[in-house]
Amino acid sequence: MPQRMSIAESREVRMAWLFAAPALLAIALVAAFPVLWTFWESLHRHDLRLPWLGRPFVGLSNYREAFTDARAWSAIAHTLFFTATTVSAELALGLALALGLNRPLRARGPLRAAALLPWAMPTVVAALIWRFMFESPGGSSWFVDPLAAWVPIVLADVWKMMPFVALLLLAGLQNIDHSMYEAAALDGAGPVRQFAFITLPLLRPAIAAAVVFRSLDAFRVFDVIYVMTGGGPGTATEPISLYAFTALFRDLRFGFGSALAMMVFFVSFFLALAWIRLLATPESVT
Amino acid sequence: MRRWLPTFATWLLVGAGLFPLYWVVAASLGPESSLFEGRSVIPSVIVFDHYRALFDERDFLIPIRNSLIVASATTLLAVTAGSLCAYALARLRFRGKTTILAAVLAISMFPQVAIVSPLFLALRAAGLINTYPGLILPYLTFAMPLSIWLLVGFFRQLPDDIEEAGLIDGASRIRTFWEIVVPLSWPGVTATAILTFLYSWNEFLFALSFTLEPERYTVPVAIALFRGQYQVAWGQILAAAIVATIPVALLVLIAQRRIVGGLTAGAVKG
Amino acid sequence: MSSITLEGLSKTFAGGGVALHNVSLAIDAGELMVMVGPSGSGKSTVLRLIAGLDSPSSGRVLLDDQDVSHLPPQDRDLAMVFQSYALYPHLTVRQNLSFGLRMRRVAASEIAERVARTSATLGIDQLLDRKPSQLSGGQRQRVALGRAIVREPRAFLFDEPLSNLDPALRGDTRAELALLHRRLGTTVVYVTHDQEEAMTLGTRIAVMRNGRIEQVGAPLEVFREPANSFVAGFVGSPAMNLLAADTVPALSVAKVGVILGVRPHDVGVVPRDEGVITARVRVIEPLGSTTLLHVELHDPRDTVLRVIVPGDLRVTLEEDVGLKVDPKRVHVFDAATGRRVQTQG
Repeated sequence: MPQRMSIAESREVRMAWLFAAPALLAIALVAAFPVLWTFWESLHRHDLRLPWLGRPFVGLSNYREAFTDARAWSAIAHTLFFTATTVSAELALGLALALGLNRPLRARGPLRAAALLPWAMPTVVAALIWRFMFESPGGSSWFVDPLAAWVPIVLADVWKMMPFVALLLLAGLQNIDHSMYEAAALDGAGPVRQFAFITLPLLRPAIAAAVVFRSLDAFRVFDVIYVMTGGGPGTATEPISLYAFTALFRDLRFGFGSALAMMVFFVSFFLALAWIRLLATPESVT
Repeated sequence: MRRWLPTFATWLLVGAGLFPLYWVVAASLGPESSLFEGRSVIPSVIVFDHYRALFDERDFLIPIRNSLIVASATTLLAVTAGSLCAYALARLRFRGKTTILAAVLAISMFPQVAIVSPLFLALRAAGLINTYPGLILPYLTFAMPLSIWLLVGFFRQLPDDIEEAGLIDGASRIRTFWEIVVPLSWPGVTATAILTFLYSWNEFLFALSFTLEPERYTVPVAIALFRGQYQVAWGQILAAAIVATIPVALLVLIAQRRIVGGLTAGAVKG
Repeated sequence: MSSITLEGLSKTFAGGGVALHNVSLAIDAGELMVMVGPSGSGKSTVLRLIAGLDSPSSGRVLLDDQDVSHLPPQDRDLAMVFQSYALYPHLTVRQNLSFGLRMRRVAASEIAERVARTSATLGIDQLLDRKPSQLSGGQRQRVALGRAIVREPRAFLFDEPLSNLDPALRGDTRAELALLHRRLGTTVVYVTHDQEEAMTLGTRIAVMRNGRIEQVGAPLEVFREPANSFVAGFVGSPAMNLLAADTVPALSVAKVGVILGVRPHDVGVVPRDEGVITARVRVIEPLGSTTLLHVELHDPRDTVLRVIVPGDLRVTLEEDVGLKVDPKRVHVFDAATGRRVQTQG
């Protein structure tokens, strides 16, 4: 039976929309519409270096080009490699730090602040710091080698983002009821078994959240690599976001660049949807 | 043996994290020459040459000013509109609430590179390239969803019945929001403001794309685009890095608990 | 003070849960109506509908014959005391008390006078400049009361106001509430799950279960003549003994299809040979002036009765005793519907 809304209820609904409107309008304007535009653009040929060609509709040919472009595949491979290494390192170190901070330490507040410092600084600064550390005066070897160049890149990202993961996991740890450990201790479980059978299982939601957050961020990586190596040597460290950016703003190929950008978007979007499905249970969202 | 190991390990981890910072501070305070010869970790002399050059030759105050203006304006807009929106989403009952929340979350996951070109063209058409609004508006793409998401988490934590008491006492929805909800959610609002300011201060891609002249560069862009005459001016770059980090470092040290509260309220569900 | 009328109130929640089924109730102006029932019975839902915090799916709420079903809470001129007190944590006691009056644009002098009067009555006038976090539980409860009283509303709504208090305080506060009601004469709708509160405070009580009102009436009336087996078992402490009639044929004329109810106070313990039924004492709970016995019938076994006897009666564990019941004190309920059947004799 459909419910007729009372005056009080409809007043509340109207107020709700009034309250929400400014923020939602802003978001629609600066985020939602641009994505649609980029998608539309990706279906056209739009090369600003060749303006006489106009802007013809070419369907999915930009995507076809991307799928057969070796550089695009390398960029995706780079991105996946970056994601896998940074997320696992951040998880491992972050868990260690979280476990360390989850104890009654005297200097806990200052320790947390100190640990957070790398996370709070601009990625640009982090990238430059690590570039400085790895660049030796007599001609740097790290940044010239296509594989070695990844080391400072990964280190910089892990250094910066590990505290964030540690924080997420720490919050999860603090949500675990202490009496469970006490019960386990009475049952004869030592610290290792307590960790394996109580901590890890109960920490799963926090770990999952951290993994998804970081994977999403890592997949979209731009700042740290742009500043540290510019994607080099050559294109050896170029992630997909940087390739798209280059195609757009240096090569001025707006159609093709938009297609690359949309590829980043689709992967991120579906990862995000998967997260919303998996982690945001109805009780927590409503 | 076992008891001090975890504590020691924790201190080690944190110390390892801070070491690069220390190295940079030390390098920035050393003379130019020490940057080329063996880089000792402990400076033999302390000079402020690099810092002086930063402000005299490069007028580093300009990017600082720009970053301050853009980050503050973005934070103000995002937190104001965001708190109203978050209140509606957290408290008021209306259909489509869940979809909107999910959409807001999804939008915060947009890769910047996917929207940078239409934003560039739109800003150019509106004559806003290389202006403050030309950065503040695009910054709302991440600042607004972030504010909404964090504030929804905070508002939900407020007990329902205090607002209901206000209603029964005769206050309208708007008055309850203003006189009861806002004062009570002040910690959450400040945490959100701090985090929004942080993200805005650190943003790079949009600032790189939407500014053209050093007059309008923000701090991250200015640092990234330092060009030495003949070689990379590491001394000044590192000094700039430290200067860029000071405000955020202060924020973190002062508001560490708030920041952590903000992050964990929104991030970990359950 | 106003009368409150509930006409056919039903409430279904978005998830599909039905909270109220066609609830109707007429509350007279000035009376203290207690809505009592187990958790989930819908009593708090009714309160929220009267307050306007929720809207009914169907039905009406009337204040003094005025349909307020669609009026928002701020326009109904009712005052509510929440279970958790819901004091404004960031305001002082004085500001808490004056908040509602401020919202109604009462003159400042009048506000000051009313706050002074009410705080004096409740004994919180020394606390006016403190914040709720600096008060004890009992003091907070008084402030919550004061906030409601100072508004001189059409009616008071109480949502389990005593349940968060220390048990020691509860009895005294209960008596104070009764006194207060007598003095102010305002209509009160009082929700509780404690049947003892209901019995002692209410002018009338409404027993609820599963979203329906099972019985309305004066406390003693409901106690003496429960309308069905649920009310019989719910009102009165210790709870009434309810047995299938064929288990204890000695107690009733009708043997088939009925349930018998006997209150623990109405069962007398006598030497074994003098009793109508025999039983063995299994548990003795000395309560002081009375003693609660749990006795297991010899036939049928596994049937346990609660019996209240004078505290000085000497009984031992595992003793075989006889039980006697005045037939006029036996309640008879239909086994299928639970409804009261007219007693014989």
